[in-house]
Amino acid sequence: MTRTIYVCICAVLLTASSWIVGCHKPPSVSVDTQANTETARDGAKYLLSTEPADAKGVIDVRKDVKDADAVVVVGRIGGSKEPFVKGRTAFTIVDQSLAACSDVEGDNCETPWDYCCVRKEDLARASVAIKIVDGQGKTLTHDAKDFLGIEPLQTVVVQGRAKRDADGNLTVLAEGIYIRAKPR
Amino acid sequence: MIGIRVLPWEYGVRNLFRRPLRSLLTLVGLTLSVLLVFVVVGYIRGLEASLAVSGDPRVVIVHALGSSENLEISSVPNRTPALLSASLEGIERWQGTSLASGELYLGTLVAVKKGAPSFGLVRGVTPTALLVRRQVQILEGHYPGPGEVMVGRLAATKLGRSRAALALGEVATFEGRDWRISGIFAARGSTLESELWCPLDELQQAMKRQDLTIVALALSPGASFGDVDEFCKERLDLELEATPETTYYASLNEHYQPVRALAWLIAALVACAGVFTGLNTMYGAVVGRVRELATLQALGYGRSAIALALIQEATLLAATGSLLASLLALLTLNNIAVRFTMSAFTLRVDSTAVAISAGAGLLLGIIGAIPPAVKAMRLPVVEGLKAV
Repeated sequence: MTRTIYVCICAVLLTASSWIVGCHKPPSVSVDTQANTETARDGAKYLLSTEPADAKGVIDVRKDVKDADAVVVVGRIGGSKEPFVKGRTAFTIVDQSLAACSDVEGDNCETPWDYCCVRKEDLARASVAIKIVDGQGKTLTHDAKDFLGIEPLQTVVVQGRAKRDADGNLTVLAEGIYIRAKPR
Repeated sequence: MIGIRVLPWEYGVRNLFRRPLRSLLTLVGLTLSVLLVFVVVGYIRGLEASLAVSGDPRVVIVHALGSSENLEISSVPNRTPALLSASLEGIERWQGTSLASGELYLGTLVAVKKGAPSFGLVRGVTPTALLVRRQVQILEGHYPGPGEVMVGRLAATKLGRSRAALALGEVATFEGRDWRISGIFAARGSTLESELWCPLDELQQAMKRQDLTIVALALSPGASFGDVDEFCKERLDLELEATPETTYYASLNEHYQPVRALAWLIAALVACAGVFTGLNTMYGAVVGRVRELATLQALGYGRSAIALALIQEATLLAATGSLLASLLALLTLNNIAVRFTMSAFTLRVDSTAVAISAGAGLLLGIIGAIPPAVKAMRLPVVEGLKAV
């Protein structure tokens, strides 16, 4: 009986070892990982090492700025459950005067950057779209999160040009982005 | 087995027929246990399948900002489909029609055949909806005209009524008006099948509303969701948000995770009941055959061989029970419609359900036989031969 058990255990271990050796592949740098590294390096050229001066809040910029004006705007990344546009180097920022869900005591919202506690009208008035475009005016097709290394609720100062449409909607075509460190 | 002299296969089979009533009762118990597991697994598979097929990867839902988790509260202006068609190049076109379907979607009380009203799902649509929602096919009748409504195949289940109550020509009453049922549609098992579809303008008149709930866009090949998302984020004046339809239904699937977890727990509890059924029978088999098992040892068969024979008997019973339960499940449970919160779906006895349920049944038999088999292995030969 004992001999039988030992033989069975050995057979199982042998089978398991063969499976592990045969099926396990050594980790290699995937194409995606390499692409991400290159993307991040390209995105670094849009990041500023010092904060641009005279940054204005989103609400003020929306009121005062005209089409093609140079603009420096400060805000927190957010405004919806997904503030980053998928497959585009574009995202929205919200005026710092608005409180995100994480700023509200006792609020355990899983996506505090969606500002769901704020009225829709107030949120629309205090948000602006930021995007990085190429020479032809087309938005770059890298995900802004990986490209620029930014996260929701980070405070960013964006330097660029204003673009107003016929309905008065403002988009900032970013030339440089400064990420403010979190206050300690 | 290496080094073990095993009992003949026929020994185990014959033993099952030596006590036919006990074997039959155990078989019935095991079959019922496995059938109950089938019900639960079929329920989970049906729910998952319903949500999985409900999302079309090429469809994007445009709704009000902040309403992605609860589309029923979304409200967008009536002109939104035209605005999106004019502003976005990536919307598919068919014979000059832009595939942008404006829809008014709500849950409301629906009464049929003078019965008490129950909670139903109504969607006000235009003919473009049939181009955007490719999975919808009209099985009987025709697309609703003025004063008419088209019902999904599972709408009757959702309303808790019989299919006859929602047959062609019958009348459904909601939003203060009567609507004649003009057609019945299927949608590949998706949640759309539990809805009632009526003309959008008529529903808006009945509800005294001019807005829409959502706009469903069909993207052309090569277009990406990013185009729609970028437009919505730039046009903050419209207060719109875009969500891929597959993402929306995936979030609903996540939402039902606790229900699925509870269902699996019930399946596990039912399986435990099956184990005890097997345990009871096999313990009885060991206790009633003490002298016989001791005689076999005296003849030279090892304790392992006797234990194996007992496990063989239990496994045979469990395998038979699993097969019977699988057959019953396929014949009686498959495609039964069940009502569920915001929709209805059908139980699904597919290959995964069969593998899980029948596999569980087989395992029940084996596990249920191990303790009695261990007991049999411990029986001293001399004591056993003297037993009455």
